[in-house]
Amino acid sequence: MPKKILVVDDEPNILRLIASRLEANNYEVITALDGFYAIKKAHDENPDLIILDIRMPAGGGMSVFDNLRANNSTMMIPVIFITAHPNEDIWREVMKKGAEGFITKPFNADDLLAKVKEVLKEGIGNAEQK
Amino acid sequence: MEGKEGFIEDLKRRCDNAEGELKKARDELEAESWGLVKTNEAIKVLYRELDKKNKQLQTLDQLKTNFINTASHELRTPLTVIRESISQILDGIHGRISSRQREFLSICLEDVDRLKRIVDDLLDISKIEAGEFKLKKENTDIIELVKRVIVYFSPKAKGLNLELRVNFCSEALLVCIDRDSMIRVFYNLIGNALKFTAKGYIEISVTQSPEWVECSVIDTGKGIFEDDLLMVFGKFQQFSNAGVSAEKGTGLGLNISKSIVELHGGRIWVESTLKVGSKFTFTLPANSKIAEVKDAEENTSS
Repeated sequence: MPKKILVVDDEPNILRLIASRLEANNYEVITALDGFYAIKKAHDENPDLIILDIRMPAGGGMSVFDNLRANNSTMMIPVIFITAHPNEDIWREVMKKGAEGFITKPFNADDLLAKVKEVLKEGIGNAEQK
Repeated sequence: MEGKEGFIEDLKRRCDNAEGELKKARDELEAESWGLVKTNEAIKVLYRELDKKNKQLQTLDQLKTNFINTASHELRTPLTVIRESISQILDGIHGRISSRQREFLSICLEDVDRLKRIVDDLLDISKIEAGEFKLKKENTDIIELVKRVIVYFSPKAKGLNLELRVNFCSEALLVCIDRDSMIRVFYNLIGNALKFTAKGYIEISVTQSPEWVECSVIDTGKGIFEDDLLMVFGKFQQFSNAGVSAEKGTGLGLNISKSIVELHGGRIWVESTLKVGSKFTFTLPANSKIAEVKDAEENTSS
């Protein structure tokens, strides 16, 4: 059975591209364009992994992450953050929060797939760090 | 008696004369001093103007840096979208494509990659100029680092029929450097050497003196014109004598390499003879491995 991945990004083009790349690699993909739908779909669909853009209007990736981890039904879902504005501070904060991964835009497809594979194999990883 | 009076008269006259001269000198001095005061004031006015101009220039420079920074960031997202779209079509994710279509999409991809490198380089340069380019120094085996870069270039060198030689002073050599940016310097120098060398070899050497670690990339390429030697480390300097098959550069690589070496406290220079080859050399402080280990702390691991 294919693993289900929820991809969250406010840029439709990026969202479409990540989705099609993952689908081509036999993942089932669901998408959300903002934080609200991200949380809703995480609850309703119970994905195996969430790929989450940090910078989004109306509830950025960080607050979505906090919300997911504070909720019993979603706290165990691994999360990979993506951002176009990588800097040390964000990276450190993300790691401190206990996210499973971090990739920077512009990403390349191999890096993305490698990270997804790595995190999915580990399954429910560093959640206890929180 | 007469003699005495005459003497006094004479003395008086001389006294008056002296006084007159003194007064004249004092007047002159006063005039001069007044002139100096005026000059001083004028200098102060000029200085204030200079200060103002300087501040304006600094503001402009900051604006320029911010502009490049923002522009580069804004350019990255659309570039990602374009690049990934083309890659997906080339990878056959969206159906079969003809060889003709493949050829032209490959051309697109090549130049999108080049554009991406330029944007990345510009971003780095704006960071360097703004003093925001931070080195993450840690004790690193520079020999191992060079070997890795060589492994990366081996297939390319083989394809071009060029020999990659090494000349290391020891099996391993610890230096306190920022790994990623130092890889970039070697990547750049070796990449350039491959680009400008049609036959022969490229030698990468690492030697050590008590104070410095010296790294060189020597090629048997076309060499650099004497007039160009001074400019190779400038921005957007590209030289036309690259091989035909060469991947186009951004013209920023050597400028960034120079900055990286200098941020490490080293120096970079080039020697070249036309039709014989070029030698790029840079130094790194050998004692940096002791002095600056502190900087390596706080490295978060994944």
